[in-house]
Amino acid sequence: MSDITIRELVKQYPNGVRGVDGVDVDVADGEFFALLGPSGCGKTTLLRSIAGLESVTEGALHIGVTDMTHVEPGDRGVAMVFQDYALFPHMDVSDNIAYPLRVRKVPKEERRATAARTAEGLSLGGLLDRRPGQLSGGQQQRVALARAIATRPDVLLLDEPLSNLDARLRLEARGFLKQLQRDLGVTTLFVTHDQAEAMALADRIAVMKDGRIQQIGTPREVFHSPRNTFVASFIGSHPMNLLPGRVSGGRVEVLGASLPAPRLTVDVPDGHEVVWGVRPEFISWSGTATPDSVRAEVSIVENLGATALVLAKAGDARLQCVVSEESAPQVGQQVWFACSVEKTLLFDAVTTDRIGGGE
Amino acid sequence: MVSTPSSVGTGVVRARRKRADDVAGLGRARAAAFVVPALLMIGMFLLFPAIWTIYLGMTDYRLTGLAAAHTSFVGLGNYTAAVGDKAFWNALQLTVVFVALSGVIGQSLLGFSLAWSLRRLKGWVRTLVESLALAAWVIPGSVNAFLWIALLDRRDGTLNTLLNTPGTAWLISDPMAMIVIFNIWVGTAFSMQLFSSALSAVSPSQLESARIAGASEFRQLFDIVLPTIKGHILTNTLMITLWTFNTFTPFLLTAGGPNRKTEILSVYIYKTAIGSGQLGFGAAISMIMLLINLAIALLYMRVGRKK
Repeated sequence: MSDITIRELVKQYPNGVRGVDGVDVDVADGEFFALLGPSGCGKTTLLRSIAGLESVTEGALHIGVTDMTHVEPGDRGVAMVFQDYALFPHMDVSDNIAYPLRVRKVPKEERRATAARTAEGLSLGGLLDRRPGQLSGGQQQRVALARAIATRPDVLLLDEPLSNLDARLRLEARGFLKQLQRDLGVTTLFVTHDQAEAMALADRIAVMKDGRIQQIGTPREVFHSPRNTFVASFIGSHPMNLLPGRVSGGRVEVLGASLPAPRLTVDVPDGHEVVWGVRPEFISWSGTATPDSVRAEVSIVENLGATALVLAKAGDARLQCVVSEESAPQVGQQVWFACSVEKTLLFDAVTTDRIGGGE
Repeated sequence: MVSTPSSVGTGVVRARRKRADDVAGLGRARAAAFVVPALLMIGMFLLFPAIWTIYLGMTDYRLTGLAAAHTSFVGLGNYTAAVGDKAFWNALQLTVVFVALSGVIGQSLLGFSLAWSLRRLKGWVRTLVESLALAAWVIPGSVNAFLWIALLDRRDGTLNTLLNTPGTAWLISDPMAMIVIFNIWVGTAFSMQLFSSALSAVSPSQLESARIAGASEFRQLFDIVLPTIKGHILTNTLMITLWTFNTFTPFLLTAGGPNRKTEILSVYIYKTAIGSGQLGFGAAISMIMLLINLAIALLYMRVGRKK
């Protein structure tokens, strides 16, 4: 079993800054797990700590039942693919893939056979004699992956695996990576700043900020039931509408209107200040006044192909909604926005934690 | 009124010049005028003395005496004389040993070791070591020689005091070892600096990748670092080989002695040409030395091109 258990992990730099600040994570055997967050949130530091490239200041790390907190990287049974792939330019593809085996003193014939087999599996068959400099970005990435999995590691770590590829290739590599992980069944952690990548690939996501974990959950959980306003605004292709409001008699006063409030998980008095949140995808518009709606004026319409992003002004506040491209309103038009109460979230204005709505 | 492009300017029609074929658009004549002064200087101070040396090497020209006034042409006589001279072969042999020990092995290895051990250090320790190594490189050779004479002196030398070996004459008992160590001390800074910058070009993620694969630091050095800086190693070896081959500073310590034990080629030429006034013979040996240098440079360049 190669599950990962991380307890109260702290990485403090000599200047006192805590890159990772008391993190608890459990990754199940065979799970595809994402570390997601903005740059500087500590996700890469956490990954490097699991690899053993960073020494840990406090806390413990177990892989399976073995305490790996202070074990040398080469003895942890982990393999890592770096953001820049870190291929050795003076070795050909075959030698690159077989390098970890060479370090482990595997005989030459066996090494070459394993390299050829692994390369074949990643459609690198005809490229074994090439140097990394002669390969495209996508091929280099697959060589790096091949080198990582050739040793059959217990844990596979990927640092921003798709960020060096161009947009089209990234989508292709995403599907390929997910398939590969399923086939190998290897416990995999990857770091990304791209929420779409994390949502698409991962079984579960840990959203990080300032060295701390904000929420761990399935893509569905972090999307529909974000724990706080940070997760709410970080997840999703379009940022969630988050507007200040006030609880009043089982409803929320927001944008000068009174809207139905979702079920509250915490008892709060009337007049309690909240943040009202709805994803742009769950807002609909109408050209005439409807009950429980907000009046606004359309200022920008962005055509996104099948859908359109509508930006509207309601007083000083701005609202976004995503609608079908065919039924988009005109710029300057007066519209009424409505959203279903099941999709409405409420956050505490002070703690920013979610206090209502969600699944 | 909106002016059309053709009416911009004074309206005077200017004859269209023919397009110059060179990159700068100067034309041949003006381009040549820029180059000529430099060529004249090179001809006067580099080419002429070289040709003059070739000529001198074929005469019996002397500093003083009869042959100084009435120089006669001797053809390749000086060269046959050099090949038959035991002192010449002694000097060549000493030079090879001196270059190998103090340059190729000593300076390269010590310079690389320093660069390797300093690579992760920042702050004052690094600055201190670098300054000390550079100091030896920056201080003029004559001052360096004086420092080492003071260090190795038989009566009041620092080394004898440190080792508690009063009366040991290092420059007489181990003259070759002393000039080898001296030259390592003088020249290591160059290799250290060159390798420092070379090492900073080694990708950290490649080293980390090897480390996760289980490679020890020693393995990382041989599998990743050395192949990456191969070009730097070659350049460094070429430079210090030529410099060490031509250096004259050891003369200031031992004057080639005792008993010709440290008479490397440069010292031998000096003693022959200036010391005993045989300018023609000295010029001939200089030519031989030049050819050896040329051969070394060509060899390195050929190896460099192969990779």
